[in-house]
Amino acid sequence: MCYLKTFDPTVPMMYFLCVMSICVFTSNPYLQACSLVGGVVMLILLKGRKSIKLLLMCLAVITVMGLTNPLFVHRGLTELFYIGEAPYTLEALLYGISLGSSIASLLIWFSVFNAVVSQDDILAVFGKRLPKTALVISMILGFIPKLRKQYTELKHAQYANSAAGTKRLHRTAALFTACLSAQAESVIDISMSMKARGYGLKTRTYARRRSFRRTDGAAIGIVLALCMICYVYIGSGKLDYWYYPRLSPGGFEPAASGCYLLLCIMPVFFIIKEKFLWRSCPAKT
Amino acid sequence: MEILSCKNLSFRYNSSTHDTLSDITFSLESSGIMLVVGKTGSGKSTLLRLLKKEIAPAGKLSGSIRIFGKDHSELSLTESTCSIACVSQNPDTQTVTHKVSAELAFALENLGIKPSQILSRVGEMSAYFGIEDIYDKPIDQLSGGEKQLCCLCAATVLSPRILILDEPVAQLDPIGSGKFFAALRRLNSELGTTMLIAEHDPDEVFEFCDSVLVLDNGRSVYYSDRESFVAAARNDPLLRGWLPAQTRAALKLGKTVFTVKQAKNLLEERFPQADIPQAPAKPRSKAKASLKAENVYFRYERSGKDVVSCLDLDVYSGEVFAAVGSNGSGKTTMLKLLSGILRPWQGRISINGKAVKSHASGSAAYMPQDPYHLFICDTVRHELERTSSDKQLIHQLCTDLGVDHLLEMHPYDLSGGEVQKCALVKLLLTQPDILLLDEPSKGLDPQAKAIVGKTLRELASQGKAICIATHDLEFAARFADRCGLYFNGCIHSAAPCKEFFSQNRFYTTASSRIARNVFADVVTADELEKRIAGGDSL
Repeated sequence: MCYLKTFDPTVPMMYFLCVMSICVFTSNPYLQACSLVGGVVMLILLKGRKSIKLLLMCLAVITVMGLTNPLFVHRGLTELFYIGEAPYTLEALLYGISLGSSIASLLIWFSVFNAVVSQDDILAVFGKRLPKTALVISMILGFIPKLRKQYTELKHAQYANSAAGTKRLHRTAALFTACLSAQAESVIDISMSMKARGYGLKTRTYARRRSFRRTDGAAIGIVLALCMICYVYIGSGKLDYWYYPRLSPGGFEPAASGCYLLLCIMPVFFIIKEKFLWRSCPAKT
Repeated sequence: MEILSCKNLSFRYNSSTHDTLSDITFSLESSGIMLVVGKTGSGKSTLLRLLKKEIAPAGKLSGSIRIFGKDHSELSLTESTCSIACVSQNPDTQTVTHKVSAELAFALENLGIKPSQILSRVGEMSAYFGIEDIYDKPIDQLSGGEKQLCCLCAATVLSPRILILDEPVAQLDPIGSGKFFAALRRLNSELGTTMLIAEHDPDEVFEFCDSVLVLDNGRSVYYSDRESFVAAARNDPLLRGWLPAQTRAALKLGKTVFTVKQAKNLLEERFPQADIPQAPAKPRSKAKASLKAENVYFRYERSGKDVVSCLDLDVYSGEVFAAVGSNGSGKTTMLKLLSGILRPWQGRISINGKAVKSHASGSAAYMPQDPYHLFICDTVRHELERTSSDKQLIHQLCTDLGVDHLLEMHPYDLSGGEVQKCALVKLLLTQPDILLLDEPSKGLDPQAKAIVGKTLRELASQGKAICIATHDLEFAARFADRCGLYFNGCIHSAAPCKEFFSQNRFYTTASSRIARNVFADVVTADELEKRIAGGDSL
């Protein structure tokens, strides 16, 4: 994980964009399997034991979606059994599993994304091109905890001293309004503090910690190349896959699946590399 | 070299009919430190803001302000931004971004400086102030003192020549403010930064300032260097009120000193064999405690640390109990537990023998640290009538506490002392037996503190049990009956106030530290003055 952080934040963000966009747009079971495998491996490597909860949840999603889909959808020719009049078909079952696993892999990849990319990385990516946007994001991130804290304090103060009997919804609305008006007061102070430090005088820059290096460029190049190959295959229709009325016979392209699998497990290489580097590192002891 | 001067400065806000500032004249040498004192609403903030162009209030200005030998209108905005920095009272409303690192870079980014340069200057600054360990933290996780230090750092990152500070430590505890002032002194002695500090509680600044300006109602009552100020205060009780305890004590003996050390030596020289009267041991009241906490434990998260642990506390009716301790030690949590807002996971809290089950029990009223939080309606009257329908009671309490004239105002337009009193009215409307007050003296000027303190004493004499949490030791010493040190989750050594402060060596008032070898039972500045006067006449 630390090794992944040695890249410019643009690299992981571009990477996750590629992986997840393919994952969203494809219904090809082979690609779905690749993304699920890659995501699970990454999640376990990055989060260890903490990943169990999410993995169990994903398993539940896949199972539930798989089992329930045939109850509502009766298309497909391979009838397994009947529930009342309605057939329970293999195709619908598989389609449910496929749908479930694409949701599951999205969840997993988001979790991996969170573990690798921090708020500051996102800011750094925006900050380079759009320093003002970066400032707005940073201000919002700072504002949320302030607002939350104020709301709790207000609630506690009112809680202890207000006459009983006021309706809950009414009270919450009143609290929220009071909270906002208190914040509106403080906005005057904030704007003074900003002006005092020269906000709006000149075009803003953004202080980023590292510059874009050649390795970053290379990494982005590889990611984009693999991603493009997958997209070309998807565009050509060779990866089209259908479940109804019968499972489509084709849809397996070794090159496309290979590229996507490579894309999905690419970071694993860096994680393992880091483990080896650390093992031979004199700082270990 | 003169760096900043004002001549016959008057100012009137656009919407106002009278001058907020009138006829103010002073000048400040390079590397000098000027202290501006005055009550809340005396025009301190307006004066300071006028000096910095970008944040100057809108209104009619007459007289001249000269900065670096130029009229302040000739100063360009960039020049003014870079050479005059500003830190104000509330650290929460000064921070703009979400992280310390972003906050420190903010001013430099605004000026369009290259990223690599920004980082080197920010790095230099945070090493100088020793805040590297909070550099990567989100701002909302910092303590008040750390936040204010971060604000100072963010303001001085442009290496300004003049630093304007508007009650910078009003929200901090003694430890936080000590650290803050240490940083200021270092900036002044090592970099020669000129400073203008507005304070209504100037004890700590007095030790290192060069000149003093006293404002009252927008007029300059007195302006001179520090030594002449002390000399003038000898005959003027109004000026004397602004002196720290040590200077006041020494003044009684005819000397001018500024530190506790000097005053202590002076006093011990003058009264070599002062008899040490033992504080008469107060008979412990056998009365049953009004508010009782037994073996209370509390934590916010299941796997977290106990914020309150093994807490035992008795508060009797008719007394003011003060829990003193630094910020973030859990005093507020304790009060919230006592009032029933939070529930302990173990232990028992009872009021008049009845266990506190929830906030609805009604016999304990809680005043939050920020009393404005009690008001969510548009006017004070509306708020009070929402709390209680008994108009007779409202009228009576308002008359008793003297807030009649404030009823139609918006709560946010009240001053700190006024809002404290209105909040007390609101609490008393629920007719509680027990009042739990969180930092009732925070951010108040000495006059307002005295009024709040007196009100508390009156309420106690009516038989209420009052428990306050405060870091203001002087306030506790003046108005509490018993004190206890809140540390590590519980209250240690609750004792009568005098006994408590005369036994503590560090955590005690300046007066007690000065007088402990001579007058063992003296804990407040007023008492000390009286005893010196009495001792002299013997």
